[in-house]
Amino acid sequence: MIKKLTLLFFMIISIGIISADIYISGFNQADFIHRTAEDSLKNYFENELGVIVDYNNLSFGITFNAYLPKYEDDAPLAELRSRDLSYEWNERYLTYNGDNIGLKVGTLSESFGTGMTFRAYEDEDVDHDNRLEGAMTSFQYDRFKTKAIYGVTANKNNPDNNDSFAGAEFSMSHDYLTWGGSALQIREMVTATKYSDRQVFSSNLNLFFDFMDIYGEYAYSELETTEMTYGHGIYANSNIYLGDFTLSGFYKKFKNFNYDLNDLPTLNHADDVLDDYQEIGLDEEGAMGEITWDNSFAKLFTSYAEAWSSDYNYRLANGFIETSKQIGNNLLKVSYEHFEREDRDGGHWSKEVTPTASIDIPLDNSFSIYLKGDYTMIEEQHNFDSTREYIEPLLQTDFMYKNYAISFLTEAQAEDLSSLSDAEFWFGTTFKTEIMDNTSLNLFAGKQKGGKVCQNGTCKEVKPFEGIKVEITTKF
Amino acid sequence: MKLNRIIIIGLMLLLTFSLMAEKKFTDFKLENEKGESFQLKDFTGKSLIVVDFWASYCDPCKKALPHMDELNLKNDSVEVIAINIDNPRLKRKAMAYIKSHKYTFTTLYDSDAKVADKMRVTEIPYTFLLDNEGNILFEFSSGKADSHEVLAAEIAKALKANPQEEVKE
Repeated sequence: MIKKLTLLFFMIISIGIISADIYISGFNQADFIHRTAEDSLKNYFENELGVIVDYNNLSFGITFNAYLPKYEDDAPLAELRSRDLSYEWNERYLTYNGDNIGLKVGTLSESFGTGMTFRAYEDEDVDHDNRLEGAMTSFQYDRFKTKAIYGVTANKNNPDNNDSFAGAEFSMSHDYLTWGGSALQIREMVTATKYSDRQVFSSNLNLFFDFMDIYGEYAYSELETTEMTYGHGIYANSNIYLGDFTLSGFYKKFKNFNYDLNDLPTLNHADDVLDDYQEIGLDEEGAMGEITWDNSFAKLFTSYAEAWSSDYNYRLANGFIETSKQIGNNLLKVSYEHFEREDRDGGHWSKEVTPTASIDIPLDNSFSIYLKGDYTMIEEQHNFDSTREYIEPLLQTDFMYKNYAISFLTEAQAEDLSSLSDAEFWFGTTFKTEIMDNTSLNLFAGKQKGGKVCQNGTCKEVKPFEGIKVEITTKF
Repeated sequence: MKLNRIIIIGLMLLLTFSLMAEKKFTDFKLENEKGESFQLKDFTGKSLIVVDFWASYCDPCKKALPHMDELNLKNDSVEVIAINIDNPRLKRKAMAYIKSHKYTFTTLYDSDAKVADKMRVTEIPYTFLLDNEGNILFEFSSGKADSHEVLAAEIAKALKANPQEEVKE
């Protein structure tokens, strides 16, 4: 008995000492989804558990997801059964982070520079996941930094097979400039028996002074399939700071620079692509200019962008102007956006004009109201058909009281104002509160159109949805 | 059998001790706009550290930044770090935004959201208050009208709890 107690005592002491350096943290997110669409299974349950164990410079993390069944917008009803439990390891990694050396093995979310040549990431909101499973090492000495990555990711057309990636990047920083370069090789499955090899080499230069900064990046690509295809990418930006004014200019040009493991800049305020059906980076050029005036009296921001393909078949124009003024504690904002796109050969053209007004009214320290109104006028033509005109008005009201926040968002689509009674409506309510320390509750009920929404003081991208979503997140 | 029991008891004790430990902010390594790397330990010169996550597309975040700047300028005991989580292709816009507003706090860029993911920041703005050893004293979703006052109260509470807290040089 004494032996056992002594053993237990020493065990508690030694584990207590070891655990002083071990930190276990994580989260659990439980989602209940009730979808009201007719061709839906209605009820779904998801649970995501993430655990991170840190011990000095070492870190181990896992994220485990369980679905009952997995919620997918476009899953055929015949294949969905409420008892189908599925699970997956969404993330597993082991890292070592020293002062000069870093190592990581497992799931990698990484990018080189601005992401123009390489970016592997997951975005659940838009169902994007091209993260790599592999290994990465980084090294830093004084102003020199480098990292090298090798990994594989599922082929987008044939997810049972992998594409492979190997790449390295370096950068040097000085007092007024940084410069660097990268090289990468991608082996991508083209058909069941055939792979293509792509090599990309890039260099970048960044100059920064008090009154201005300049950034330029050039990349050259060689794609070997049955024949060699050469491509290139250029991205440049300069900002000039003149007192209350900031002038910004951006330029891009991409030719045969379309592959799955990069993320090219859109260069327009709407952050939209040149064409929804043409591969991004295949053939496009564009420029954007912005002026910001930030004064204690008011703020003004204006942006204009154009993009085009080399034969001018595809064209895009986007203008935006916004002014905001603080009146007492209230913040008033008014903006106007014009967005136009054309695919001349396909006979597609669309124009959207959106005036917006919003006001943020903090009534006292614990209670505030936010009101926003949009009125989008759309004209569009498809396949050379006659032009269709319609409107998409939006009204948003947010109330925040202490730890409670509730938002009402109403969107509609109608031929014009007089036919609003026949319009299609999206009405959704979002409620958010803290139910315990480190535990939050998010509730959505209604119908949402999708897109980027800022509600209850936070912003995120949402997918089209109709029904009820309850989300309880606990951090530990 | 005995060995199994010992291992299970050991693991449970380890888990209990670890969960009982104070929660720490991850020891990140991030770059500023000039490509210089910073770690959390570079900011332990003051009693308290405020870490604020933001992005250039987030209006509530941008509304909170002047309060962060004021906090950084007026409170000698507090170091403010703004961590930007814009994706890599929007990073240049975020840099220009910070420079044009002449904010005095340190801005670091977490373009691959490694720190945000590890700290489970799922919505922004989100703010952490740390002591100078990186322990998390308070964290909250900071997009509400009174958020800067809530943070100021937590800072006052932390300073009052440790009035003699030695400031590391």
